[in-house]
Amino acid sequence: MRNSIFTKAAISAAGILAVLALWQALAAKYPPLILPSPVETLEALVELWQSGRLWANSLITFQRTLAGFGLAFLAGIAVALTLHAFSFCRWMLQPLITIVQIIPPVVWIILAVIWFGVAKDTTVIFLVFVVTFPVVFINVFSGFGGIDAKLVEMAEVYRCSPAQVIIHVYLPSLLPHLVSAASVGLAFAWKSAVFAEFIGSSSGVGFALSMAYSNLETEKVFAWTVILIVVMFAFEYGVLGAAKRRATRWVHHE
Amino acid sequence: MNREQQAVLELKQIHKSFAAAGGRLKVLAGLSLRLYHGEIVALVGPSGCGKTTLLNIIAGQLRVDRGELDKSPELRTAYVFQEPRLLPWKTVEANIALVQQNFLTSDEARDFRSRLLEETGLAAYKDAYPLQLSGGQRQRLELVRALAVRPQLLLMDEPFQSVDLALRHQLQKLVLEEQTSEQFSILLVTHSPEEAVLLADRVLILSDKPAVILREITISTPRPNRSYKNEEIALISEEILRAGVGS
Ligand SMILES: Nc1ncnc2c1ncn2[C@@H]1O[C@H](COP(=O)(O)OP(=O)(O)OP(=O)(O)O)[C@@H](O)[C@H]1O
Ligand SMILES: [Mg+2]
Repeated sequence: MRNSIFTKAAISAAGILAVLALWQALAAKYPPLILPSPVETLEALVELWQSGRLWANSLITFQRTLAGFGLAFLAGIAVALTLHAFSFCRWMLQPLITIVQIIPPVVWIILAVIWFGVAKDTTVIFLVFVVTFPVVFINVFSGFGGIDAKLVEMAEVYRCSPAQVIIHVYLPSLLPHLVSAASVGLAFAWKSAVFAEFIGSSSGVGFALSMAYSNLETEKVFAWTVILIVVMFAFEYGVLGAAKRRATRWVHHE
Repeated sequence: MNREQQAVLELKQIHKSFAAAGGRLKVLAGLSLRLYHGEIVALVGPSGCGKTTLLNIIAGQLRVDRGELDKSPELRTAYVFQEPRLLPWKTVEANIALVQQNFLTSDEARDFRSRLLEETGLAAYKDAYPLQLSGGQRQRLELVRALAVRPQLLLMDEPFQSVDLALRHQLQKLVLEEQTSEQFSILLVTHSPEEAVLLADRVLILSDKPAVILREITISTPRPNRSYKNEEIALISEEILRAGVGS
Protein backbone atom coordinates (compact mmCIF):
# COMPACT_ATOMS: atom_id res chain seq x y z
CA MET A 1 0.00 0.00 0.00
CA ARG A 2 2.62 2.49 1.17
CA ASN A 3 4.85 1.36 -1.62
CA SER A 4 2.28 2.04 -4.31
CA ILE A 5 1.66 5.56 -2.97
CA PHE A 6 5.37 6.28 -3.38
CA THR A 7 5.37 4.76 -6.83
CA LYS A 8 2.45 6.95 -7.86
CA ALA A 9 4.12 10.06 -6.41
CA ALA A 10 7.33 9.21 -8.26
CA ILE A 11 5.47 8.80 -11.55
CA SER A 12 3.65 12.13 -11.03
CA ALA A 13 6.95 13.85 -10.24
CA ALA A 14 8.53 12.35 -13.34
CA GLY A 15 5.64 13.72 -15.44
CA ILE A 16 6.05 17.21 -14.02
CA LEU A 17 9.82 17.10 -14.56
CA ALA A 18 9.29 16.04 -18.18
CA VAL A 19 6.99 19.00 -18.79
CA LEU A 20 9.53 21.35 -17.16
CA ALA A 21 12.29 19.98 -19.39
CA LEU A 22 10.15 20.41 -22.49
CA TRP A 23 9.24 23.93 -21.37
CA GLN A 24 12.95 24.77 -20.86
CA ALA A 25 13.86 23.36 -24.28
CA LEU A 26 11.13 25.34 -26.05
CA ALA A 27 11.92 28.52 -24.10
CA ALA A 28 15.49 28.40 -25.38
CA LYS A 29 14.12 28.82 -28.92
CA TYR A 30 11.83 31.78 -28.29
CA PRO A 31 12.26 35.23 -26.76
CA PRO A 32 11.02 35.64 -23.13
CA LEU A 33 8.17 37.86 -24.35
CA ILE A 34 6.66 34.83 -26.11
CA LEU A 35 7.76 32.08 -23.76
CA PRO A 36 9.77 32.81 -20.60
CA SER A 37 11.83 29.90 -19.28
CA PRO A 38 11.17 28.17 -15.95
CA VAL A 39 14.13 30.03 -14.47
CA GLU A 40 12.80 33.41 -15.61
CA THR A 41 9.40 32.52 -14.20
CA LEU A 42 11.01 31.61 -10.90
CA GLU A 43 12.87 34.94 -10.85
CA ALA A 44 9.59 36.77 -11.45
CA LEU A 45 8.02 34.80 -8.60
CA VAL A 46 10.84 35.80 -6.24
CA GLU A 47 10.49 39.42 -7.27
CA LEU A 48 6.73 39.36 -6.64
CA TRP A 49 7.38 37.73 -3.29
CA GLN A 50 9.98 40.31 -2.26
CA SER A 51 7.85 43.27 -3.31
CA GLY A 52 5.02 41.89 -1.14
CA ARG A 53 2.59 41.92 -4.04
CA LEU A 54 2.38 38.17 -4.24
CA TRP A 55 0.95 37.83 -0.79
CA ALA A 56 -1.21 40.98 -0.86
CA ASN A 57 -2.93 40.15 -4.15
CA SER A 58 -3.39 36.48 -3.37
CA LEU A 59 -4.98 37.33 -0.05
CA ILE A 60 -7.48 39.72 -1.65
CA THR A 61 -8.47 37.17 -4.29
CA PHE A 62 -8.68 34.48 -1.63
CA GLN A 63 -11.04 36.56 0.50
CA ARG A 64 -13.31 37.38 -2.43
CA THR A 65 -13.35 33.73 -3.48
CA LEU A 66 -14.31 32.59 -0.01
CA ALA A 67 -17.00 35.26 0.37
CA GLY A 68 -18.64 34.43 -2.97
CA PHE A 69 -18.22 30.70 -2.46
CA GLY A 70 -19.57 30.80 1.11
CA LEU A 71 -22.71 32.63 0.01
CA ALA A 72 -23.18 30.29 -2.96
CA PHE A 73 -22.68 27.22 -0.76
CA LEU A 74 -25.28 28.30 1.80
CA ALA A 75 -27.72 29.43 -0.87
CA GLY A 76 -27.18 26.23 -2.85
CA ILE A 77 -28.00 24.06 0.17
CA ALA A 78 -30.98 26.20 1.17
CA VAL A 79 -32.50 26.15 -2.31
CA ALA A 80 -31.83 22.41 -2.73
CA LEU A 81 -33.58 21.76 0.60
CA THR A 82 -36.54 23.92 -0.38
CA LEU A 83 -36.92 22.22 -3.73
CA HIS A 84 -36.68 18.83 -2.08
CA ALA A 85 -39.31 19.67 0.50
CA PHE A 86 -41.75 21.49 -1.81
CA SER A 87 -41.75 19.80 -5.16
CA PHE A 88 -43.96 22.45 -6.78
CA CYS A 89 -41.06 24.94 -6.37
CA ARG A 90 -39.00 22.62 -8.55
CA TRP A 91 -40.89 23.44 -11.73
CA MET A 92 -40.54 27.13 -10.97
CA LEU A 93 -36.92 27.33 -9.87
CA GLN A 94 -35.12 24.65 -11.82
CA PRO A 95 -35.48 26.34 -15.24
CA LEU A 96 -34.27 29.62 -13.69
CA ILE A 97 -31.18 27.92 -12.30
CA THR A 98 -30.46 26.36 -15.67
CA ILE A 99 -30.76 29.80 -17.29
CA VAL A 100 -28.34 31.31 -14.76
CA GLN A 101 -25.94 28.53 -15.62
CA ILE A 102 -26.27 28.91 -19.38
CA ILE A 103 -25.57 32.68 -19.46
CA PRO A 104 -21.81 33.02 -20.15
CA PRO A 105 -19.71 34.53 -17.33
CA VAL A 106 -18.71 37.41 -19.64
CA VAL A 107 -22.32 38.61 -19.64
CA TRP A 108 -22.47 38.42 -15.87
CA ILE A 109 -19.25 40.38 -15.43
CA ILE A 110 -20.48 43.12 -17.77
CA LEU A 111 -23.71 43.34 -15.80
CA ALA A 112 -21.83 43.25 -12.50
CA VAL A 113 -19.63 46.16 -13.56
CA ILE A 114 -22.71 48.09 -14.70
CA TRP A 115 -24.61 47.37 -11.51
CA PHE A 116 -21.88 47.50 -8.86
CA GLY A 117 -19.14 49.53 -10.57
CA VAL A 118 -15.50 48.86 -11.36
CA ALA A 119 -13.03 48.21 -8.57
CA LYS A 120 -15.67 47.08 -6.09
CA ASP A 121 -15.40 43.87 -4.08
CA THR A 122 -19.10 43.34 -4.72
CA THR A 123 -18.51 43.04 -8.46
CA VAL A 124 -16.09 40.14 -7.99
CA ILE A 125 -18.11 38.46 -5.26
CA PHE A 126 -21.25 38.70 -7.38
CA LEU A 127 -19.62 36.93 -10.30
CA VAL A 128 -18.19 34.24 -8.03
CA PHE A 129 -21.63 33.71 -6.54
CA VAL A 130 -23.44 33.54 -9.86
CA VAL A 131 -20.97 31.05 -11.32
CA THR A 132 -20.65 28.88 -8.19
CA PHE A 133 -24.24 28.73 -7.00
CA PRO A 134 -25.64 26.47 -9.75
CA VAL A 135 -22.71 24.09 -9.35
CA VAL A 136 -23.29 23.74 -5.60
CA PHE A 137 -27.02 23.51 -6.01
CA ILE A 138 -26.87 20.74 -8.62
CA ASN A 139 -24.48 18.65 -6.53
CA VAL A 140 -26.47 18.97 -3.32
CA PHE A 141 -29.81 18.47 -5.03
CA SER A 142 -28.66 15.28 -6.70
CA GLY A 143 -27.57 14.16 -3.23
CA PHE A 144 -31.17 14.32 -2.03
CA GLY A 145 -32.14 11.93 -4.80
CA GLY A 146 -29.60 9.47 -3.42
CA ILE A 147 -31.15 9.27 0.05
CA ASP A 148 -32.39 5.73 0.53
CA ALA A 149 -36.10 5.84 1.38
CA LYS A 150 -35.83 2.33 2.83
CA LEU A 151 -33.41 3.57 5.47
CA VAL A 152 -35.76 6.41 6.35
CA GLU A 153 -38.57 3.85 6.72
CA MET A 154 -36.38 1.70 8.94
CA ALA A 155 -35.66 4.69 11.17
CA GLU A 156 -39.38 5.48 11.37
CA VAL A 157 -40.29 1.90 12.32
CA TYR A 158 -37.86 2.20 15.24
CA ARG A 159 -39.51 5.51 16.20
CA CYS A 160 -36.66 7.86 15.28
CA SER A 161 -37.68 11.52 15.51
CA PRO A 162 -37.41 13.80 12.44
CA ALA A 163 -34.27 15.29 14.01
CA GLN A 164 -32.74 11.83 14.40
CA VAL A 165 -33.61 10.99 10.80
CA ILE A 166 -31.93 14.19 9.59
CA ILE A 167 -28.81 13.65 11.68
CA HIS A 168 -28.37 9.91 11.20
CA VAL A 169 -29.80 9.30 7.73
CA TYR A 170 -30.01 12.53 5.70
CA LEU A 171 -26.75 14.20 6.65
CA PRO A 172 -24.45 11.19 6.30
CA SER A 173 -25.86 10.37 2.89
CA LEU A 174 -25.55 14.02 1.81
CA LEU A 175 -22.04 14.45 3.16
CA PRO A 176 -20.13 13.11 0.13
CA HIS A 177 -22.25 15.36 -2.08
CA LEU A 178 -21.56 18.39 0.12
CA VAL A 179 -17.85 17.70 -0.08
CA SER A 180 -17.92 17.29 -3.83
CA ALA A 181 -20.07 20.42 -4.12
CA ALA A 182 -17.38 22.25 -2.13
CA SER A 183 -14.61 20.79 -4.24
CA VAL A 184 -16.12 21.62 -7.65
CA GLY A 185 -17.59 24.88 -6.35
CA LEU A 186 -14.29 26.17 -5.01
CA ALA A 187 -12.50 25.52 -8.28
CA PHE A 188 -15.21 27.47 -10.12
CA ALA A 189 -15.16 30.22 -7.49
CA TRP A 190 -11.39 30.70 -7.64
CA LYS A 191 -11.30 30.83 -11.45
CA SER A 192 -14.23 33.22 -11.71
CA ALA A 193 -12.75 35.51 -9.04
CA VAL A 194 -9.56 35.85 -11.10
CA PHE A 195 -11.63 36.40 -14.24
CA ALA A 196 -13.74 39.10 -12.59
CA GLU A 197 -10.64 40.86 -11.27
CA PHE A 198 -9.05 40.75 -14.69
CA ILE A 199 -11.94 42.65 -16.18
CA GLY A 200 -13.43 44.74 -13.43
CA SER A 201 -11.10 45.31 -10.51
CA SER A 202 -8.02 47.23 -9.40
CA SER A 203 -6.62 44.63 -7.04
CA GLY A 204 -6.15 40.89 -6.70
CA VAL A 205 -4.42 38.24 -8.75
CA GLY A 206 -6.66 38.84 -11.78
CA PHE A 207 -5.81 42.53 -11.77
CA ALA A 208 -2.09 41.73 -11.41
CA LEU A 209 -2.44 39.44 -14.42
CA SER A 210 -4.04 42.18 -16.47
CA MET A 211 -1.23 44.59 -15.50
CA ALA A 212 1.43 42.07 -16.46
CA TYR A 213 -0.40 41.54 -19.72
CA SER A 214 -0.61 45.23 -20.65
CA ASN A 215 3.02 45.80 -19.62
CA LEU A 216 4.10 42.83 -21.76
CA GLU A 217 5.64 41.09 -18.73
CA THR A 218 4.98 37.55 -19.85
CA GLU A 219 7.18 36.04 -17.12
CA LYS A 220 4.83 37.58 -14.53
CA VAL A 221 1.80 36.10 -16.28
CA PHE A 222 3.53 32.75 -15.89
CA ALA A 223 4.47 33.47 -12.29
CA TRP A 224 0.87 34.31 -11.32
CA THR A 225 -0.35 31.21 -13.13
CA VAL A 226 2.02 29.10 -11.05
CA ILE A 227 0.54 30.65 -7.92
CA LEU A 228 -3.02 29.92 -9.05
CA ILE A 229 -2.09 26.30 -9.68
CA VAL A 230 -0.39 25.93 -6.30
CA VAL A 231 -3.35 27.38 -4.40
CA MET A 232 -5.86 25.10 -6.15
CA PHE A 233 -3.66 22.08 -5.50
CA ALA A 234 -3.41 22.96 -1.83
CA PHE A 235 -7.19 23.20 -1.65
CA GLU A 236 -7.97 20.04 -3.54
CA TYR A 237 -5.44 17.75 -1.95
CA GLY A 238 -5.10 19.33 1.47
CA VAL A 239 -8.40 20.50 2.86
CA LEU A 240 -10.86 18.74 0.57
CA GLY A 241 -8.93 15.50 0.27
CA ALA A 242 -9.08 15.06 4.03
CA ALA A 243 -12.78 15.98 4.11
CA LYS A 244 -13.54 13.50 1.32
CA ARG A 245 -11.80 10.66 3.11
CA ARG A 246 -13.69 11.46 6.31
CA ALA A 247 -17.04 11.67 4.55
CA THR A 248 -16.69 8.22 3.01
CA ARG A 249 -14.64 6.48 5.68
CA TRP A 250 -17.22 3.70 5.95
CA VAL A 251 -16.74 2.67 2.31
CA HIS A 252 -13.09 1.84 2.69
CA HIS A 253 -11.79 -1.28 4.28
CA GLU A 254 -9.37 -0.89 7.12
CA MET B 1 -51.31 -23.98 25.38
CA ASN B 2 -51.09 -21.30 28.05
CA ARG B 3 -51.28 -18.23 25.88
CA GLU B 4 -53.26 -15.30 27.23
CA GLN B 5 -56.20 -14.71 24.93
CA GLN B 6 -55.33 -11.08 24.43
CA ALA B 7 -54.81 -9.80 20.89
CA VAL B 8 -51.86 -7.44 20.35
CA LEU B 9 -52.78 -6.99 16.73
CA GLU B 10 -55.90 -7.36 14.68
CA LEU B 11 -56.48 -6.83 10.96
CA LYS B 12 -60.07 -6.69 9.74
CA GLN B 13 -60.91 -7.03 6.07
CA ILE B 14 -57.74 -5.32 4.81
CA HIS B 15 -57.65 -4.28 1.16
CA LYS B 16 -54.54 -2.98 -0.54
CA SER B 17 -53.71 -2.33 -4.17
CA PHE B 18 -50.85 -0.61 -5.98
CA ALA B 19 -50.75 1.54 -9.08
CA ALA B 20 -49.53 -0.63 -11.93
CA ALA B 21 -49.20 -0.43 -15.69
CA GLY B 22 -52.75 -0.47 -17.07
CA GLY B 23 -54.71 -0.08 -13.85
CA ARG B 24 -54.35 -1.20 -10.27
CA LEU B 25 -52.73 -4.33 -8.92
CA LYS B 26 -54.84 -5.85 -6.17
CA VAL B 27 -52.53 -7.37 -3.59
CA LEU B 28 -54.60 -7.89 -0.46
CA ALA B 29 -58.32 -8.54 -0.79
CA GLY B 30 -60.16 -8.54 2.51
CA LEU B 31 -57.52 -10.20 4.64
CA SER B 32 -58.20 -10.62 8.34
CA LEU B 33 -55.94 -11.94 11.04
CA ARG B 34 -55.40 -11.75 14.76
CA LEU B 35 -52.15 -12.15 16.69
CA TYR B 36 -52.23 -12.94 20.40
CA HIS B 37 -49.87 -11.92 23.13
CA GLY B 38 -46.81 -14.21 23.20
CA GLU B 39 -47.87 -16.04 20.07
CA ILE B 40 -45.73 -17.01 17.09
CA VAL B 41 -47.56 -17.02 13.77
CA ALA B 42 -45.93 -18.08 10.52
CA LEU B 43 -47.16 -16.62 7.24
CA VAL B 44 -46.50 -18.71 4.17
CA GLY B 45 -47.61 -18.05 0.63
CA PRO B 46 -46.43 -17.94 -2.96
CA SER B 47 -43.84 -15.39 -3.98
CA GLY B 48 -45.38 -12.00 -4.73
CA CYS B 49 -48.65 -12.72 -2.94
CA GLY B 50 -48.32 -9.73 -0.61
CA LYS B 51 -46.54 -10.95 2.53
CA THR B 52 -44.06 -8.08 2.68
CA THR B 53 -46.88 -5.67 1.88
CA LEU B 54 -48.78 -7.04 4.87
CA LEU B 55 -45.82 -6.58 7.23
CA ASN B 56 -45.27 -3.05 5.93
CA ILE B 57 -48.89 -2.23 6.68
CA ILE B 58 -48.54 -3.58 10.22
CA ALA B 59 -45.27 -1.65 10.69
CA GLY B 60 -47.10 1.54 9.72
CA GLN B 61 -45.15 2.05 6.50
CA LEU B 62 -48.10 1.56 4.15
CA ARG B 63 -51.69 2.67 4.44
CA VAL B 64 -54.56 0.34 3.69
CA ASP B 65 -57.13 1.21 1.05
CA ARG B 66 -59.94 -0.24 3.09
CA GLY B 67 -60.31 -2.18 6.32
CA GLU B 68 -59.11 -1.75 9.85
CA LEU B 69 -55.80 -2.18 11.64
CA ASP B 70 -56.07 -2.47 15.42
CA LYS B 71 -52.74 -2.02 17.10
CA SER B 72 -51.84 0.09 20.08
CA PRO B 73 -49.62 3.00 19.03
CA GLU B 74 -47.46 2.17 22.05
CA LEU B 75 -46.82 -1.39 20.90
CA ARG B 76 -43.04 -1.59 20.60
CA THR B 77 -42.50 -3.05 17.15
CA ALA B 78 -39.27 -4.35 15.67
CA TYR B 79 -38.90 -5.36 12.05
CA VAL B 80 -36.40 -7.72 10.44
CA PHE B 81 -36.62 -6.50 6.85
CA GLN B 82 -36.43 -8.91 3.94
CA GLU B 83 -33.27 -7.13 2.75
CA PRO B 84 -31.17 -5.80 5.63
CA ARG B 85 -31.59 -2.06 6.11
CA LEU B 86 -28.45 -1.01 7.91
CA LEU B 87 -26.93 2.46 8.03
CA PRO B 88 -23.70 1.96 6.05
CA TRP B 89 -21.96 4.89 7.77
CA LYS B 90 -22.48 3.49 11.26
CA THR B 91 -20.56 0.65 12.83
CA VAL B 92 -22.28 -2.59 13.77
CA GLU B 93 -22.61 -1.45 17.36
CA ALA B 94 -23.75 2.09 16.48
CA ASN B 95 -26.45 0.70 14.18
CA ILE B 96 -27.95 -1.12 17.15
CA ALA B 97 -27.37 1.62 19.70
CA LEU B 98 -29.16 4.22 17.55
CA VAL B 99 -32.50 2.42 17.61
CA GLN B 100 -32.11 1.24 21.21
CA GLN B 101 -31.84 4.77 22.54
CA ASN B 102 -35.49 5.37 21.69
CA PHE B 103 -36.60 2.57 24.00
CA LEU B 104 -34.01 1.57 26.61
CA THR B 105 -31.75 3.22 29.15
CA SER B 106 -28.14 3.27 28.02
CA ASP B 107 -27.03 0.63 30.57
CA GLU B 108 -29.81 -1.74 29.66
CA ALA B 109 -29.11 -1.12 25.97
CA ARG B 110 -25.41 -1.90 26.33
CA ASP B 111 -26.00 -5.14 28.25
CA PHE B 112 -28.61 -6.35 25.83
CA ARG B 113 -26.63 -5.56 22.75
CA SER B 114 -23.35 -7.05 23.90
CA ARG B 115 -25.07 -10.29 24.91
CA LEU B 116 -26.85 -10.57 21.55
CA LEU B 117 -23.71 -9.72 19.59
CA GLU B 118 -21.90 -12.39 21.56
CA GLU B 119 -24.56 -15.02 20.91
CA THR B 120 -24.66 -14.35 17.18
CA GLY B 121 -20.89 -14.35 16.75
CA LEU B 122 -20.79 -10.68 15.82
CA ALA B 123 -18.95 -9.42 18.91
CA ALA B 124 -15.63 -9.35 17.07
CA TYR B 125 -17.20 -7.15 14.39
CA LYS B 126 -18.82 -4.54 16.59
CA ASP B 127 -16.54 -1.80 15.26
CA ALA B 128 -16.82 -2.88 11.62
CA TYR B 129 -19.00 -1.12 9.07
CA PRO B 130 -21.84 -3.05 7.36
CA LEU B 131 -20.05 -2.99 3.99
CA GLN B 132 -17.26 -5.00 5.58
CA LEU B 133 -19.66 -7.78 6.62
CA SER B 134 -20.78 -10.80 4.62
CA GLY B 135 -24.40 -11.09 3.52
CA GLY B 136 -25.14 -13.56 6.30
CA GLN B 137 -23.51 -11.37 8.92
CA ARG B 138 -25.64 -8.43 7.82
CA GLN B 139 -28.74 -10.54 8.15
CA ARG B 140 -27.68 -11.49 11.66
CA LEU B 141 -27.08 -7.84 12.52
CA GLU B 142 -30.55 -7.03 11.21
CA LEU B 143 -31.94 -9.66 13.59
CA VAL B 144 -29.83 -8.52 16.54
CA ARG B 145 -30.97 -4.92 16.07
CA ALA B 146 -34.60 -6.03 16.15
CA LEU B 147 -34.18 -8.16 19.28
CA ALA B 148 -32.08 -5.48 20.96
CA VAL B 149 -34.96 -3.03 21.39
CA ARG B 150 -36.81 -5.64 23.52
CA PRO B 151 -39.84 -5.60 21.22
CA GLN B 152 -43.42 -6.52 22.08
CA LEU B 153 -44.11 -7.36 18.46
CA LEU B 154 -41.43 -8.78 16.20
CA LEU B 155 -42.04 -8.76 12.46
CA MET B 156 -39.67 -11.00 10.51
CA ASP B 157 -39.55 -11.20 6.71
CA GLU B 158 -37.60 -14.31 5.71
CA PRO B 159 -34.98 -13.53 8.33
CA PHE B 160 -32.76 -16.56 7.75
CA GLN B 161 -32.73 -16.74 3.98
CA SER B 162 -29.02 -16.23 3.37
CA VAL B 163 -27.42 -18.07 6.27
CA ASP B 164 -26.21 -21.66 6.18
CA LEU B 165 -28.12 -24.48 7.80
CA ALA B 166 -26.13 -24.74 11.03
CA LEU B 167 -26.31 -21.02 11.63
CA ARG B 168 -29.98 -20.95 10.72
CA HIS B 169 -30.73 -23.46 13.46
CA GLN B 170 -28.65 -21.48 15.90
CA LEU B 171 -30.52 -18.25 15.08
CA GLN B 172 -33.91 -19.95 15.24
CA LYS B 173 -32.96 -21.21 18.67
CA LEU B 174 -31.90 -17.72 19.74
CA VAL B 175 -35.20 -16.22 18.62
CA LEU B 176 -37.13 -18.91 20.49
CA GLU B 177 -35.09 -18.37 23.66
CA GLU B 178 -35.60 -14.61 23.53
CA GLN B 179 -39.28 -15.08 22.84
CA THR B 180 -39.64 -17.48 25.75
CA SER B 181 -37.99 -15.14 28.21
CA GLU B 182 -39.54 -11.89 26.94
CA GLN B 183 -42.92 -13.25 25.79
CA PHE B 184 -43.26 -11.05 22.73
CA SER B 185 -45.43 -11.89 19.72
CA ILE B 186 -43.90 -12.85 16.39
CA LEU B 187 -45.23 -12.63 12.86
CA LEU B 188 -42.82 -14.61 10.70
CA VAL B 189 -42.86 -14.70 6.91
CA THR B 190 -41.08 -17.77 5.61
CA HIS B 191 -40.77 -19.90 2.49
CA SER B 192 -39.64 -22.89 4.49
CA PRO B 193 -42.30 -25.38 5.69
CA GLU B 194 -39.71 -26.74 8.08
CA GLU B 195 -39.15 -23.35 9.67
CA ALA B 196 -42.89 -22.76 9.95
CA VAL B 197 -43.59 -26.05 11.72
CA LEU B 198 -40.54 -25.72 13.94
CA LEU B 199 -41.26 -22.21 15.23
CA ALA B 200 -44.94 -21.39 14.98
CA ASP B 201 -47.97 -21.83 17.18
CA ARG B 202 -50.11 -21.18 14.13
CA VAL B 203 -49.43 -21.28 10.41
CA LEU B 204 -51.42 -19.11 8.00
CA ILE B 205 -51.33 -20.17 4.37
CA LEU B 206 -51.98 -17.29 1.99
CA SER B 207 -53.40 -17.58 -1.50
CA ASP B 208 -51.81 -16.12 -4.61
CA LYS B 209 -52.54 -12.40 -5.00
CA PRO B 210 -54.95 -10.86 -4.28
CA ALA B 211 -54.16 -12.61 -1.01
CA VAL B 212 -56.61 -14.01 1.46
CA ILE B 213 -55.98 -16.62 4.12
CA LEU B 214 -56.55 -20.01 2.53
CA ARG B 215 -56.00 -22.09 5.59
CA GLU B 216 -55.12 -21.71 9.24
CA ILE B 217 -53.33 -24.54 11.04
CA THR B 218 -52.79 -24.62 14.79
CA ILE B 219 -49.86 -26.78 15.87
CA SER B 220 -50.51 -28.58 19.13
CA THR B 221 -47.27 -30.59 19.44
CA PRO B 222 -45.00 -28.83 21.98
CA ARG B 223 -41.92 -27.32 20.35
CA PRO B 224 -39.27 -29.61 21.86
CA ASN B 225 -41.02 -32.66 20.34
CA ARG B 226 -41.33 -31.27 16.86
CA SER B 227 -39.62 -33.39 14.26
CA TYR B 228 -40.69 -35.09 11.08
CA LYS B 229 -41.00 -38.34 13.04
CA ASN B 230 -43.96 -36.73 14.76
CA GLU B 231 -47.10 -37.47 12.78
CA GLU B 232 -48.77 -34.06 13.17
CA ILE B 233 -45.62 -32.22 12.13
CA ALA B 234 -45.13 -34.41 9.09
CA LEU B 235 -48.73 -33.89 8.00
CA ILE B 236 -48.62 -30.14 8.43
CA SER B 237 -45.40 -29.68 6.50
CA GLU B 238 -46.83 -31.77 3.71
CA GLU B 239 -49.89 -29.58 3.65
CA ILE B 240 -47.82 -26.41 3.46
CA LEU B 241 -45.80 -27.90 0.63
CA ARG B 242 -48.99 -28.86 -1.20
CA ALA B 243 -50.17 -25.26 -1.02
CA GLY B 244 -47.20 -24.58 -3.28
CA VAL B 245 -45.35 -22.09 -1.11
CA GLY B 246 -41.97 -23.73 -0.87
CA SER B 247 -39.56 -22.00 -3.22
N1 LIG C 1 -44.75 -0.13 -3.77
C1 LIG C 1 -45.26 -0.95 -4.70
N2 LIG C 1 -45.74 -0.47 -5.85
C2 LIG C 1 -46.29 -1.30 -6.77
N3 LIG C 1 -46.37 -2.62 -6.65
C3 LIG C 1 -45.90 -3.16 -5.51
C4 LIG C 1 -45.32 -2.37 -4.48
N4 LIG C 1 -44.93 -3.19 -3.48
C5 LIG C 1 -45.26 -4.42 -3.87
N5 LIG C 1 -45.84 -4.43 -5.08
C6 LIG C 1 -46.38 -5.60 -5.79
O1 LIG C 1 -47.25 -6.24 -4.91
C7 LIG C 1 -47.13 -7.65 -4.99
C8 LIG C 1 -46.82 -8.20 -3.60
O2 LIG C 1 -45.53 -7.80 -3.21
P1 LIG C 1 -44.86 -8.30 -1.85
O3 LIG C 1 -43.51 -7.71 -1.79
O4 LIG C 1 -45.78 -7.99 -0.73
O5 LIG C 1 -44.79 -9.86 -2.10
P2 LIG C 1 -44.21 -11.01 -1.16
O6 LIG C 1 -45.32 -11.91 -0.84
O7 LIG C 1 -43.45 -10.42 -0.04
O8 LIG C 1 -43.21 -11.75 -2.17
P3 LIG C 1 -41.83 -12.50 -1.86
O9 LIG C 1 -42.17 -13.79 -1.20
O10 LIG C 1 -41.25 -12.71 -3.21
O11 LIG C 1 -41.03 -11.59 -0.99
C9 LIG C 1 -46.04 -7.92 -5.99
O12 LIG C 1 -46.65 -8.24 -7.22
C10 LIG C 1 -45.31 -6.62 -6.11
O13 LIG C 1 -44.82 -6.45 -7.41
MG1 LIG D 1 -41.50 -10.33 0.46
